[in-house]
Amino acid sequence: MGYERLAFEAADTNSDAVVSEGELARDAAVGFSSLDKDRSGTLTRSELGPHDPARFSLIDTNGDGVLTFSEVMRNKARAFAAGDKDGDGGLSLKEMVDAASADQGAVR
Amino acid sequence: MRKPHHASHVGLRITLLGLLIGLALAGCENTGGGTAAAGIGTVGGAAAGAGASRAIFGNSTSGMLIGAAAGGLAGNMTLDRQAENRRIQEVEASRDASARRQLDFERQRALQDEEVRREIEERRLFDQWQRERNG
Repeated sequence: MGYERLAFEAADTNSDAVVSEGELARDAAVGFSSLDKDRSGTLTRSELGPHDPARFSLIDTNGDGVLTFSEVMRNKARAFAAGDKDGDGGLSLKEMVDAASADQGAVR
Repeated sequence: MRKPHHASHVGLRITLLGLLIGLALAGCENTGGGTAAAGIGTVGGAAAGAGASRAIFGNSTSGMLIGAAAGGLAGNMTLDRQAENRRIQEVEASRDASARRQLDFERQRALQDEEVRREIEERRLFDQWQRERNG
Protein backbone atom coordinates (compact mmCIF):
# COMPACT_ATOMS: atom_id res chain seq x y z
CA MET A 1 0.00 0.00 0.00
CA GLY A 2 3.04 2.25 -0.48
CA TYR A 3 1.86 4.37 -3.37
CA GLU A 4 -1.69 4.64 -2.02
CA ARG A 5 -0.38 5.85 1.33
CA LEU A 6 1.81 8.46 -0.33
CA ALA A 7 -1.10 9.70 -2.41
CA PHE A 8 -3.36 9.71 0.64
CA GLU A 9 -0.88 11.68 2.77
CA ALA A 10 -0.38 14.21 -0.05
CA ALA A 11 -4.14 14.76 -0.24
CA ASP A 12 -4.63 14.86 3.54
CA THR A 13 -3.27 18.38 3.95
CA ASN A 14 -4.36 18.81 7.58
CA SER A 15 -2.99 15.35 8.51
CA ASP A 16 -6.15 14.23 10.35
CA ALA A 17 -6.03 10.77 8.69
CA VAL A 18 -9.17 11.60 6.72
CA VAL A 19 -9.41 13.18 3.27
CA SER A 20 -12.37 15.55 3.05
CA GLU A 21 -14.08 16.43 -0.21
CA GLY A 22 -12.38 19.85 -0.10
CA GLU A 23 -8.97 18.18 0.26
CA LEU A 24 -9.85 15.81 -2.55
CA ALA A 25 -10.82 18.74 -4.79
CA ARG A 26 -7.59 20.59 -3.97
CA ASP A 27 -5.56 17.47 -4.69
CA ALA A 28 -7.40 16.95 -7.96
CA ALA A 29 -6.78 20.61 -8.94
CA VAL A 30 -3.04 20.13 -8.37
CA GLY A 31 -3.02 17.03 -10.57
CA PHE A 32 -5.22 18.62 -13.21
CA SER A 33 -3.14 21.77 -13.63
CA SER A 34 0.06 19.69 -13.73
CA LEU A 35 -1.29 17.59 -16.57
CA ASP A 36 -2.76 20.53 -18.48
CA LYS A 37 0.43 21.30 -20.39
CA ASP A 38 -1.14 23.57 -23.00
CA ARG A 39 -3.02 25.55 -20.35
CA SER A 40 -6.29 25.08 -22.16
CA GLY A 41 -8.26 24.30 -19.02
CA THR A 42 -9.04 20.85 -20.38
CA LEU A 43 -7.20 17.54 -20.54
CA THR A 44 -6.79 15.76 -23.84
CA ARG A 45 -6.04 12.08 -24.20
CA SER A 46 -2.42 12.86 -25.11
CA GLU A 47 -2.00 15.05 -22.02
CA LEU A 48 -3.19 12.16 -19.86
CA GLY A 49 -0.60 9.78 -21.29
CA PRO A 50 -1.32 6.04 -21.07
CA HIS A 51 -4.88 5.65 -19.78
CA ASP A 52 -7.96 3.45 -19.90
CA PRO A 53 -10.16 4.68 -22.82
CA ALA A 54 -13.32 3.32 -21.19
CA ARG A 55 -12.55 5.28 -18.02
CA PHE A 56 -11.91 8.40 -20.09
CA SER A 57 -15.26 8.03 -21.82
CA LEU A 58 -17.01 7.51 -18.48
CA ILE A 59 -15.62 10.78 -17.11
CA ASP A 60 -16.09 12.72 -20.38
CA THR A 61 -19.84 13.05 -19.86
CA ASN A 62 -20.50 15.46 -22.76
CA GLY A 63 -18.37 13.30 -25.08
CA ASP A 64 -16.35 16.18 -26.52
CA GLY A 65 -13.09 14.23 -26.28
CA VAL A 66 -11.56 16.37 -23.55
CA LEU A 67 -11.96 16.41 -19.78
CA THR A 68 -12.84 19.57 -17.88
CA PHE A 69 -12.11 19.91 -14.20
CA SER A 70 -15.84 19.81 -13.46
CA GLU A 71 -16.15 16.47 -15.24
CA VAL A 72 -13.18 15.08 -13.34
CA MET A 73 -14.53 16.35 -10.02
CA ARG A 74 -18.06 15.11 -10.64
CA ASN A 75 -16.58 11.65 -11.13
CA LYS A 76 -14.43 11.99 -8.03
CA ALA A 77 -17.34 13.30 -5.95
CA ARG A 78 -19.41 10.31 -7.00
CA ALA A 79 -16.62 7.93 -6.00
CA PHE A 80 -16.13 9.91 -2.79
CA ALA A 81 -19.78 9.60 -1.79
CA ALA A 82 -19.77 5.90 -2.60
CA GLY A 83 -16.55 5.34 -0.71
CA ASP A 84 -17.53 7.15 2.50
CA LYS A 85 -18.94 4.05 4.12
CA ASP A 86 -19.11 5.39 7.66
CA GLY A 87 -20.67 8.67 6.48
CA ASP A 88 -18.25 10.91 8.38
CA GLY A 89 -17.76 13.21 5.39
CA GLY A 90 -14.22 12.01 4.73
CA LEU A 91 -12.29 9.05 3.39
CA SER A 92 -9.86 7.06 5.51
CA LEU A 93 -6.94 5.42 3.72
CA LYS A 94 -8.84 2.14 3.54
CA GLU A 95 -12.01 3.82 2.28
CA MET A 96 -10.00 5.70 -0.32
CA VAL A 97 -8.26 2.57 -1.59
CA ASP A 98 -11.56 0.67 -1.69
CA ALA A 99 -13.26 3.57 -3.47
CA ALA A 100 -10.49 3.74 -6.08
CA SER A 101 -10.69 -0.02 -6.66
CA ALA A 102 -14.49 0.09 -6.95
CA ASP A 103 -14.28 3.07 -9.33
CA GLN A 104 -11.88 1.22 -11.59
CA GLY A 105 -13.93 -1.94 -11.32
CA ALA A 106 -17.05 -0.05 -12.39
CA VAL A 107 -15.43 0.69 -15.73
CA ARG A 108 -14.54 -2.94 -16.44
CA MET B 1 93.10 37.22 -43.35
CA ARG B 2 92.60 38.80 -39.95
CA LYS B 3 89.47 40.78 -39.12
CA PRO B 4 90.15 44.31 -38.13
CA HIS B 5 90.19 44.85 -34.36
CA HIS B 6 87.31 47.35 -34.60
CA ALA B 7 85.00 44.88 -36.42
CA SER B 8 85.43 42.14 -33.83
CA HIS B 9 84.52 44.64 -31.07
CA VAL B 10 81.33 45.61 -32.89
CA GLY B 11 80.35 41.94 -33.26
CA LEU B 12 80.91 41.34 -29.56
CA ARG B 13 78.90 44.43 -28.66
CA ILE B 14 75.94 43.33 -30.81
CA THR B 15 75.96 39.90 -29.18
CA LEU B 16 76.03 41.53 -25.75
CA LEU B 17 73.19 43.86 -26.77
CA GLY B 18 71.03 40.89 -27.78
CA LEU B 19 71.83 39.11 -24.54
CA LEU B 20 70.96 42.14 -22.41
CA ILE B 21 67.66 42.75 -24.22
CA GLY B 22 66.78 39.12 -23.70
CA LEU B 23 67.52 39.34 -19.99
CA ALA B 24 65.57 42.61 -19.68
CA LEU B 25 62.51 41.06 -21.35
CA ALA B 26 62.74 37.98 -19.16
CA GLY B 27 62.65 40.33 -16.17
CA CYS B 28 59.42 41.95 -17.43
CA GLU B 29 57.65 38.60 -17.70
CA ASN B 30 55.34 37.50 -14.91
CA THR B 31 54.03 34.07 -14.00
CA GLY B 32 50.93 34.18 -16.24
CA GLY B 33 52.96 34.95 -19.36
CA GLY B 34 53.09 38.49 -20.66
CA THR B 35 52.95 41.69 -18.68
CA ALA B 36 50.22 42.83 -16.37
CA ALA B 37 49.14 45.55 -18.80
CA ALA B 38 49.55 45.98 -22.54
CA GLY B 39 52.29 48.49 -23.40
CA ILE B 40 54.57 47.64 -20.50
CA GLY B 41 56.46 45.14 -22.67
CA THR B 42 57.04 47.77 -25.39
CA VAL B 43 58.10 50.51 -23.02
CA GLY B 44 60.15 48.18 -20.84
CA GLY B 45 61.80 46.61 -23.87
CA ALA B 46 62.62 50.02 -25.34
CA ALA B 47 64.10 51.24 -22.05
CA ALA B 48 66.09 48.06 -21.61
CA GLY B 49 67.24 48.21 -25.22
CA ALA B 50 68.33 51.84 -24.90
CA GLY B 51 70.11 51.13 -21.61
CA ALA B 52 71.86 48.08 -22.97
CA SER B 53 72.86 49.94 -26.10
CA ARG B 54 74.30 52.79 -24.02
CA ALA B 55 76.25 50.33 -21.90
CA ILE B 56 77.72 48.71 -24.95
CA PHE B 57 78.12 51.53 -27.45
CA GLY B 58 78.58 54.41 -25.05
CA ASN B 59 76.73 57.74 -25.39
CA SER B 60 75.86 57.25 -29.04
CA THR B 61 72.39 58.70 -29.70
CA SER B 62 71.79 56.63 -32.79
CA GLY B 63 73.01 53.50 -30.98
CA MET B 64 70.54 54.12 -28.15
CA LEU B 65 67.72 54.81 -30.62
CA ILE B 66 68.40 51.61 -32.49
CA GLY B 67 68.62 49.70 -29.19
CA ALA B 68 65.37 51.27 -27.98
CA ALA B 69 63.62 50.45 -31.25
CA ALA B 70 64.86 46.88 -31.23
CA GLY B 71 63.98 46.43 -27.54
CA GLY B 72 60.55 48.04 -27.97
CA LEU B 73 59.74 45.87 -30.94
CA ALA B 74 60.86 42.73 -29.15
CA GLY B 75 58.86 43.69 -26.05
CA ASN B 76 55.78 44.34 -28.12
CA MET B 77 56.16 41.12 -30.09
CA THR B 78 56.48 38.96 -27.00
CA LEU B 79 55.19 40.32 -23.72
CA ASP B 80 52.50 42.76 -24.88
CA ARG B 81 51.04 40.29 -27.33
CA GLN B 82 50.80 37.69 -24.56
CA ALA B 83 49.21 40.25 -22.28
CA GLU B 84 46.70 41.21 -24.95
CA ASN B 85 45.85 37.55 -25.64
CA ARG B 86 45.38 36.93 -21.94
CA ARG B 87 43.20 40.03 -21.64
CA ILE B 88 41.03 38.82 -24.54
CA GLN B 89 40.71 35.38 -22.91
CA GLU B 90 39.71 36.99 -19.62
CA VAL B 91 37.09 39.16 -21.33
CA GLU B 92 35.69 36.10 -23.11
CA ALA B 93 35.64 34.08 -19.87
CA SER B 94 33.92 36.93 -18.08
CA ARG B 95 31.36 37.21 -20.91
CA ASP B 96 30.72 33.44 -20.76
CA ALA B 97 30.22 33.57 -16.99
CA SER B 98 27.87 36.51 -17.37
CA ALA B 99 25.86 34.70 -20.06
CA ARG B 100 25.67 31.60 -17.84
CA ARG B 101 24.42 33.67 -14.91
CA GLN B 102 21.80 35.31 -17.13
CA LEU B 103 20.67 31.90 -18.42
CA ASP B 104 20.45 30.47 -14.89
CA PHE B 105 18.45 33.49 -13.78
CA GLU B 106 16.04 33.20 -16.73
CA ARG B 107 15.61 29.45 -16.18
CA GLN B 108 14.91 30.00 -12.49
CA ARG B 109 12.51 32.80 -13.32
CA ALA B 110 10.64 30.61 -15.83
CA LEU B 111 10.32 27.83 -13.23
CA GLN B 112 8.98 30.29 -10.67
CA ASP B 113 6.54 31.73 -13.22
CA GLU B 114 5.32 28.23 -14.03
CA GLU B 115 4.95 27.42 -10.33
CA VAL B 116 2.94 30.59 -9.69
CA ARG B 117 0.81 29.96 -12.78
CA ARG B 118 0.00 26.47 -11.57
CA GLU B 119 -0.87 27.68 -8.09
CA ILE B 120 -3.22 30.27 -9.56
CA GLU B 121 -4.77 27.65 -11.84
CA GLU B 122 -5.17 25.20 -8.94
CA ARG B 123 -6.87 27.90 -6.90
CA ARG B 124 -9.14 28.82 -9.81
CA LEU B 125 -10.15 25.18 -10.39
CA PHE B 126 -10.79 24.61 -6.71
CA ASP B 127 -12.89 27.78 -6.39
CA GLN B 128 -14.82 26.87 -9.54
CA TRP B 129 -15.63 23.46 -8.12
CA GLN B 130 -16.68 24.94 -4.78
CA ARG B 131 -19.06 27.34 -6.59
CA GLU B 132 -20.52 24.44 -8.58
CA ARG B 133 -21.05 22.43 -5.40
CA ASN B 134 -22.65 25.29 -3.55
CA GLY B 135 -24.57 26.76 -6.47
